[in-house]
This record gives sequence, structure tokens and C-alpha cells, in this order.
Amino acid sequence: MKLGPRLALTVLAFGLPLFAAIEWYRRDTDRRLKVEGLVNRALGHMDEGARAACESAPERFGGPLDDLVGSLRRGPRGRRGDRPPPFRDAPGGGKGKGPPPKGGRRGGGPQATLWAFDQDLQCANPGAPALPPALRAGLDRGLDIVQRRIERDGRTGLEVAFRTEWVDGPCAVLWITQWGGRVPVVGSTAQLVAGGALAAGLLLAALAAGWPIVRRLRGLTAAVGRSAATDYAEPVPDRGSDEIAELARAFNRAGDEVKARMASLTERSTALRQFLSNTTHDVMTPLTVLQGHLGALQRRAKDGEPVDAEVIRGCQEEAHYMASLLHNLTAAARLESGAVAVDLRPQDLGPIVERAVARHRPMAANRGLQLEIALPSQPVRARVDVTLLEQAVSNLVHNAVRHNSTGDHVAVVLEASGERFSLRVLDDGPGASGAVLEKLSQRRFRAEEARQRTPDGQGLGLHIARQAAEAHGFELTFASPSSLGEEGKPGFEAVLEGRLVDGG
Amino acid sequence: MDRILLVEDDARLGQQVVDSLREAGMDVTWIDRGDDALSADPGVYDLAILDLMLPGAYGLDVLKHLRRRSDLPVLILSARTEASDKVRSLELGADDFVTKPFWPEELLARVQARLRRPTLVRDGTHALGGVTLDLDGRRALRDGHTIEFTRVEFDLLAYLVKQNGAAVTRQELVDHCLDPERDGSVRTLDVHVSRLRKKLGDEGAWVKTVWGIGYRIEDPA
Repeated sequence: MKLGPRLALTVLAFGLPLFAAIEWYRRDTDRRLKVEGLVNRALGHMDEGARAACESAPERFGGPLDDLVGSLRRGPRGRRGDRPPPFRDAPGGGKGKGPPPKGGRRGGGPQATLWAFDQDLQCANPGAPALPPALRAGLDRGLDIVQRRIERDGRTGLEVAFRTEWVDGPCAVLWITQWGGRVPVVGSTAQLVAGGALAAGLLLAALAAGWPIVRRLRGLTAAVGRSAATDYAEPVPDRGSDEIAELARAFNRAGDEVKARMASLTERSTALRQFLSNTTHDVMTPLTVLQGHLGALQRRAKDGEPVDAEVIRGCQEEAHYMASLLHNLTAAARLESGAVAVDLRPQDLGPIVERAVARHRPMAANRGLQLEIALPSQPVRARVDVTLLEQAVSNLVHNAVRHNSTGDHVAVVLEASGERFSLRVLDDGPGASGAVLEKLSQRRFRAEEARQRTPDGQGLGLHIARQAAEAHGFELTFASPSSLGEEGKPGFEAVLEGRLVDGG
Repeated sequence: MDRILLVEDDARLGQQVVDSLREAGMDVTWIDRGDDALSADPGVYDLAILDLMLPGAYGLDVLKHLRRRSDLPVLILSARTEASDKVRSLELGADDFVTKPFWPEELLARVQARLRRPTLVRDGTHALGGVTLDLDGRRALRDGHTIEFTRVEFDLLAYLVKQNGAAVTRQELVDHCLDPERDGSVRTLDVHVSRLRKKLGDEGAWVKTVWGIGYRIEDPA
């Protein structure tokens, strides 16, 4: 059952008995007040002379209070022996049966009758109705006040019989009956017990309904705690169809999310550490070579020998290689972290290509190579990640420069035609063998192998260039067309092609 | 003499750049703090070299300052490789971007490229050695005598001169200078250039063949 109806039932189950108890208490108090009121009314009249009338002429005492009050007011008539004014006999022969007395609104309030009894519950007035058995029984049992709700012909009333302080006289017990007014029904003891049982039953039902909720909530809390402590490895039990089960399911979903995030973060953290480790490792060798060259230079300088241009060139090559490496490793890290890190925007390719080529001019000059660039007079706009593309082009140029020697040529040509652009990096050097070209054209080029600085040196640079091209949706192809160079030197051509973007 | 403003906080790198530029005959003013750069007057310089990572102010703010006060070429030096930095600098008006590490020659070449003035322009004419070119009047003179070029030959020469020394592909020359209906192709282009060179005599060496690309104008000296 859903929590809503369950809680509603619980509230009812608690509320009803409470309401009943309050109502019972209210009626009980009400009744007591009425009883007290009646007793006081009777005693009041006794004080005002009714007692005297009763003790002096008990055989004539009793009846409707209005008449009594009236006679008291008129005062006792004269001499002994005079008949006191008659009470009207209770109609119906004094048995207390018959219609309740009517009339009489003079002094005294609602219609009431009053009869007096001695301590043996005998009435001196022969016209008095008999004391009702219920009242008599209570008095016999030793109660000082007994009361009873009466009902006849649609009218309700209250009668009270109580012992007075005048225990020796004919008004030791007074029985006053009052009709009219609302007399609240107050349950008997049996009824009270039954009511109590029902209330208890409802309370138990409420507990029975509520307790499982509490227990399940506690269970869920414990399960949540355990799950969180084990990095959400353990889902919490979520059987059921009520809100608690839904909560459990929601928690499990949240836990799955957190797990996925944590996995992704761990993966990235591992990748980062891997990157750092690769970088430091890969820089070590060229750095060592550089230090070696510098050491050689120092020795020769100490010996007063002239500077060996070759050694200087060696130093520069290593430094250049390290710079390229660092840029490439950064690019690799970005490519590996996926599309998120690639920031594509419409850009003019001209300046990008120019910057990439400029990086290698000193090295080309060092090696005696001609490095030339041709850009169109109009901007060539495509959606590119500036840094990534610059690195890719730089790698293509670096590749060309590194493989060629004195007298060779490297040309970098950017052209646009229709909706496409093409960037060619060509040289007239030794080119690449069929096997190497085959490898270069493979879809998957493991980054690990790529990181080796192999003698034919495809290495990381071309791998990055290929990955960058893919990330941009461009095509990168390699060829060694013999048309480029002379006999024995077929040359090498890397071609990057892609779509232009309008305007921007 | 070209006056260069260098804003660079690293002492050793700054000194290297200053030495390299002075060796090339330039006058260099070196400021090593961003806030000092903000109070410099860019109007007195021909080019500025600006490192993005500076104490005292953000490099990009200095760039904005320089840009606001003048249109002198600004060349950014930076070790940061984020694409966004490059894009932002270029958006804010930087003319070029040199990523560290760089070779001194590389920086020098880029500075010179930005400072480059059209080849020896005097009174609207271009001088190629002993040959004077009047591009608007479509005349070429040597020692007062007119050199007779065909329309295509003059167009080729003029186009190359206007590129200011940049290499031009054969296809581009064909597209802009040759008549497609009259055997305008890459092969005939070479023939036209060959004739052009002959007519230029010694100055023919100014028209350089660029391997893999085409041609460009360059002082053979």
C-alpha cells in the first residue's frame, strides 16, 4: 500500500479513539455538571423551607417543584391542623408512571419533581412513585449519589437520588427528576470497556500499519550507508511499489551515476599519470644526447679546439626534437581524452600553416634544405582546432625536414578549390618505402609504437597528424610518387584535405 | 632602424631576445612587467613582442592596451598551448603567435616578416635591381629604355611583385595571368616565365623558381 493511504489510515486510527475519548470525557463532565446542578437545586429548596415542610408533614411532601416553590412562597398557613396547600398528586396513581408533569414556570427552572425518602428508602407520602430500582440498587450498594438518564415520549430527562445530611428524618434521601434540556448519553462501564478495546484495536492497527514503514526506513538507511561505504558497489534492495521502494530505486540510480563518474575520473587520472610518465621518459633520451653534445663542446673549448659545427647542429636537433615531442605529447593527451578537448572553430588556415612552417625554418636552414610555403591570396576558412591543427601540420613539415639532406627541397602548399581545401607537404628526398607507406595507411597506429624514435622515424608526429586529421573530419594521405624527385629519390608527399566553411 | 618593444618578464629569455634583435640591427626597448607595459606609449614603436604570462597585469590586457592606442604589429610569445589562448589573442588583435620553445632565428624571421615593407617602393614604382617597374602605368624601364613585355609577361611580373616575395603556385599564376582560351596552362606558364626572364636580362635572376610551388620575386644578392 502506498504511504499516503497508509498514513491516512494511521491518522484515523489514532484520531478516532482520541476523539472518542475526548467526547466521552466531555459528556461525562457535562453529566456531572447537570447532576450537580440538580442536587444543588434540590438542596437549595430545602434550605428555603422545603426541609421544614418535609419534616413537619412528610406525608404530604413531594411532587412538582413548581408547586413546592409556590407553596413555600405563600408561606405556611396559620394554625396547626390546617391543611397545607395540596400538592397535586402525581398523576397516574403515584407510581411514577404517566406523562411528565406539565406547566409551571414560576420559580425553579425546568420542570422537576422532588420526593423525599428516609434512610430506609421509604417515602412517607403515599402518593409518591416508587424509587426506580436502578437508583435504589445504587443507594443500597452504598453510593451517596445515583443518577440516571430517562427518556419518555421523545423527551429526555435526568433523575438523581442522593443522601442528605439529615439522615434521621424523612428527607434523608432526595429524589429529584428533571425533564427537558439535553442530557448527554454517557456510556455504561461495559460500553466504556468495549470502546476502550476498540480504541486499543485501532491503535494496534495503526502501529501495525506504521511500524513496517519505520522498519523499512531504518533498513534502507542502513543499506544506503553500506552502499556508500563500498563506493556504491552494492545496490540497496528496492522491491516493492510504494514510495520507499521508489526512494531505494532512485538511490540506486544515483549510485550508478556516481560510479560511472568515478570510473571516468579514475580513467582520466590514470591517463594523466600515463602521460606524465611518457613525457618524462621520452624526453630523457634526447636530453641525454644533448647533454652529451654540450659536454663534447665544453671539452673541445677547454682544449682550445675550434667549434665543431656538426656538434652544434646535433644539439639543436635534439632541442628541436624535444620541443616537438612536448607539443606532440600534449596533443596526444588532448586527442586521447576525446572529442571534448577538441575546440573546433572557423579559422583561416593560412596563418596556422605559416606558423607551423616557421617553426622549422631554422632547422631546415641548418640542414641546407630549401623550405618554401605558398598560400592563396584569399583566406582559406575551415572549422579547426587551432593548436591541434598547427601541431599536425608542424609534424608533417618536421617529418619532411628530418628526412632530407643538403640540397633537398620541401614545399608546403595550401590551396582552396570549390568547397574543399588541400594542404600538401612535399619533398624530393628519399621518400618512404612501400612497407612504411603501408603502415602509415593503417587505420590503427598504436600510440605506443609511435612513441619510439625509430630510424626511419615515423614516430609520434605522423600518428598525431593522423589522429588530428580524424578529429577534424579531414583526410590525410601519404604517397611516394616518383614524379616528385630525381632518380633514386622518389620524394614524399603528405596531403591533408577537408571541407571549407562559409563566411564566418 | 626598426624600434621594437619587448614585454617579457623572464630575465634570460628577455636578454636572449634583445641580443638577437639588436644583432639584426633593431632598436629594442625591454619592459619586464605588465603594469609598466600598460603605461608605455605604443605609438613610438614599429612592432611589439608580448609575452602573455606577466607579473603586474594580464598579458591580454596589455595586448588590449597596445591595440587600443595604435595599430602596430603585435607578436605574442607564449608557452601555453591551449587553442583558446591563441584564438583569444588573435581575436583581441594580435598579429602573430610564437609558441615557446622557439629558435631565435625563428622569432627574428617572424619579426622581419611583420616589419617587411614592399620591395623597394619609391614614388609608386618598384625597383628590381636596375629595372624600374611602374605597375599602374604598365611600364618597365631600364636606364630609361622601355622593356617590351607582352601583356601576359607584364601581368606575371606584376603579380609576383605584388606578392611581396611570397611564393606563388603555378596554378595561381595561370588562373590570374593567363588567358584560359589561349593555351593558358601550367606548361605554357613556364614558357612565359622563361621569356620574361630573358627580357629582364641580369634582373631575370629576381624571378626565382620555387621547387614544388612555382615562382617568387627575390633579390638574388
